[in-house]
Amino acid sequence: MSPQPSEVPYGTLDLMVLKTLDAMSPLHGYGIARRIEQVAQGSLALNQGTIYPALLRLEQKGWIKSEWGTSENNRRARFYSITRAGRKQLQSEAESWARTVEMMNRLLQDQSA
Amino acid sequence: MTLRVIVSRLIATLRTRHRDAELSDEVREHLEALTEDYVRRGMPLADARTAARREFGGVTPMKEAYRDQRGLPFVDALQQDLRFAGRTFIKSPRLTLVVIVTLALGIGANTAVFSVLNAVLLRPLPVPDPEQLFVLAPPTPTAVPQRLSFSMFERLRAATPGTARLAATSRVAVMYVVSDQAAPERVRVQLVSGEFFAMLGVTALSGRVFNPDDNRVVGGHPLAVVSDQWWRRRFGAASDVIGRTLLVNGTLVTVVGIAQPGFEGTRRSDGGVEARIGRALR
Repeated sequence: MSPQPSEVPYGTLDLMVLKTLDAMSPLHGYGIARRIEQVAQGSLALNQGTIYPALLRLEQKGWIKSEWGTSENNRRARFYSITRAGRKQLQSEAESWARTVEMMNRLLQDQSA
Repeated sequence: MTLRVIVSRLIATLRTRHRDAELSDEVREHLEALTEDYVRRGMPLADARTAARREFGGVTPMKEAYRDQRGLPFVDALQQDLRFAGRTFIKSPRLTLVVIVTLALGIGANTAVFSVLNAVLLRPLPVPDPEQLFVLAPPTPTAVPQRLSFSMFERLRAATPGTARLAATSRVAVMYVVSDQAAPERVRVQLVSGEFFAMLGVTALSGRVFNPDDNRVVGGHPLAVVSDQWWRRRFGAASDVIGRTLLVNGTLVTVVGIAQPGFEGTRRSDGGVEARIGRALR
C-alpha cells in the first residue's frame, strides 16, 4: 500500500529548490517543480505555485539569480540558477538537516525510551 | 531581515507594475506547460487546463504571498491610504477646504505665538554669558513698581562681592527723539548706569560704550549709545554720527558710540541713553 502524498513540511521548500538548482541549473519554475516531484516519487503533494514565493525569497537573499530566456519549446521563461553564496548556504543547511534527521532517528528508535 | 533583503524589497516597491507583469508571465507559461503535459498524456484540452490549475494551486493567494514577500507591505498600504485620502478629498471639496483652512490657521497661530515667545523668553541675550546674568528684585513682588535711588544703587554696588558686577537699568521707555537730521521719532530707550555695557560684555561697533566714569555726577553725563539697527535706520549708517546731539524727551544728549550689531539692550529697544545715571539709547 502506498502512503498518501504528504504536505510539504514547513520551511523545507526553500532547501528543496536550492538543492534542485544545485543539481541542474539553470531551470525555470515549471522545471524546478517537476524535478522536485520526480525526485519525491509521488510522496509529496506540492502546490507548484508555492515555489514562486520561495524563488523570490532565495533571490532576495542572494542565493539564486534569475534571467529571462527561451525555454526548450520556444517559450519566454525566467531561468533560475544557484549562486556561490547559495552553494555555501545549501551545504550548511544540508548538514544541519542531516543532524536533525539523525537525532530524530536515534530518539525514535531508542528502545529504552 | 537583512539589509540585502530590505534593499531588494525597496527596489521592488518602486517597480511594482513591472514585477507584477513578470510574475503573471511566469505563471501563465507554467500553467501552459502543465496543460501541454496533460494533453500529451492524452487528456482533452479542457480537462488538461483544469488539472493544471489544480496542480498549480491557488493563483491569487500565491500572488498575494509573493507580493507581501516582494515589497514592503507598509509602503504599499501607505500608498493605498494616500490614494484613498486623495479620492475622499476630491469627493467633498467643502470639507477639504474647511480642513485646510483650519490647519493653516492653527499652524499659523502657533508659529506666530512661538516666534514671539522665542524672541521674548527663549532666545538668550546676545551677550557673551547670558546664563550668568541675574536681575535683583524685591523678595516679594509689589503691586507698584519700586524705584531705586542712585545712592541705594551705589550702596548695593559697593556691597557686591568678588568679581560680580552690578549695573542699574530702567525699563524700556518710549521717548521722543529729535535731531536735526530727521523728523521727530518715538524711540524705545533704556536708561542705564555706566557699568551696564562692561557688565554685559558688550562692546562698541564704533565710538565707545559707557564706563563707570560716566556716572560720577548725577545728571552730569548726557550721553547716548545707539543700537546698530537704529543707527542704520535713523542715520542711514552715517559714519559721522558720533558726536552728534539728540534731543531726548527735551534733554540734549551726545551720541558717544554704536553698540555691537545684534545688541538692543536687555529688552528690545533702539539704544541706550545715559541721562541721570547715564543713558543708553537703543
